[in-house]
Amino acid sequence: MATEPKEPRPRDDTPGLDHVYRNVAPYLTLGIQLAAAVVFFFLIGWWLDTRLDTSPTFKLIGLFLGFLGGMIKFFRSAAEMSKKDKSL
Amino acid sequence: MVDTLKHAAVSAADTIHVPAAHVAAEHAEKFEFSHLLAHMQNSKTLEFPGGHIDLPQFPPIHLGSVTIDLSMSKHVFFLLLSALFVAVFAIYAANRNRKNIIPKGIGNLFEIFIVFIRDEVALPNMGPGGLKYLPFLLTLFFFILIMNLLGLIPYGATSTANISVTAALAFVAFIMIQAVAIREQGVAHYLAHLTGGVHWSMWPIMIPVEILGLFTKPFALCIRLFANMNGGHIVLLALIGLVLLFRSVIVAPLSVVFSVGVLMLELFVAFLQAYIFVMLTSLFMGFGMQSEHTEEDAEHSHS
Repeated sequence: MATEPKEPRPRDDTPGLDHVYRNVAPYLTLGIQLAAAVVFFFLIGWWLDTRLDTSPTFKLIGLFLGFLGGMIKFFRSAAEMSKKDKSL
Repeated sequence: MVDTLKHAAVSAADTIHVPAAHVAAEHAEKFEFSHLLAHMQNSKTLEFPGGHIDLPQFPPIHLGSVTIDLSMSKHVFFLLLSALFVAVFAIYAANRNRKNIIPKGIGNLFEIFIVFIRDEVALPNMGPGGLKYLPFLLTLFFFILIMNLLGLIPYGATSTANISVTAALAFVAFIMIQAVAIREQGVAHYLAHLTGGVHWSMWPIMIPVEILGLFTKPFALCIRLFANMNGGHIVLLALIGLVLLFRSVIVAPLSVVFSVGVLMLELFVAFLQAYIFVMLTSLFMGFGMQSEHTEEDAEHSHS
């Protein structure tokens, strides 16, 4: 029995895994980065507090600065992402 | 992590079987379960069909307050074995391909992967300028792939399921990403990029945040590979452990069928994770190479 020629499968337009990763990769670690910034500045504050015996002043300042820096980075990245979206 | 798992498993076995009358069987089962879990852990003995050998141990080295134990363990053995495999097969395939114009056999197998990494990973992520980093990416890919696959053969161990190994791999990737960025952009531009483009009064806050940002990418690479290679093993252990927990033959077919399914999935994940590690490394290297142009473009669009 001769095999019938198969119909060419319709090319699917869903983006492949490589495409997805390429677009999403810059933002995969945004969450970790925000958390890391807060924790890092908090630890600096903690260290200063134990050195200077001023608990909890520097812990609070560290938390605030870390949150500020993390958020600035977060929103700058988000703004970049939406700018890229418009150019597409 | 494995230790806590072991404790959890042992305590789970305790709570389930405390009312059971047969204490001896319970002891046997505990031994079996911890024995199963021990296969995931690093150990100082190497098992093979029909026995085991103790790996050579060296006395730890003291450097100041740091103690470094450089003796062989199961994971180190399989790491070195995979390095040897990669070297031997790659050199053999290269020699064969030099003689045969049309590659065949193992040379052909290698060529498929090499062309795939070149065309689907290096070129789209880094452009033609990234081809000079292709040997690094290929070494990374084959090394991780062989390590992942060695964990799937019986009596093997997955070196990449050890967080120290993935951390070292991520560290190499980190060095490479920074080196490429500095080489392609120049030191001045690289340092300028670290300020995040904010007002100078914000620099004391933003520079640590940006430097932390450099570390989070390789950190995610490290955790991703480690968790993926461990995850499959834990699922396999849980499925096989079902037989021991229920102490019934009826569960066995289900457990075996699902184990085979998960093993197939692990085979896929071994390739996928090697691919994703190399893919993301080349992508981050590509960012370092191209960020100069994109920023220039951004400045042009602003003005």
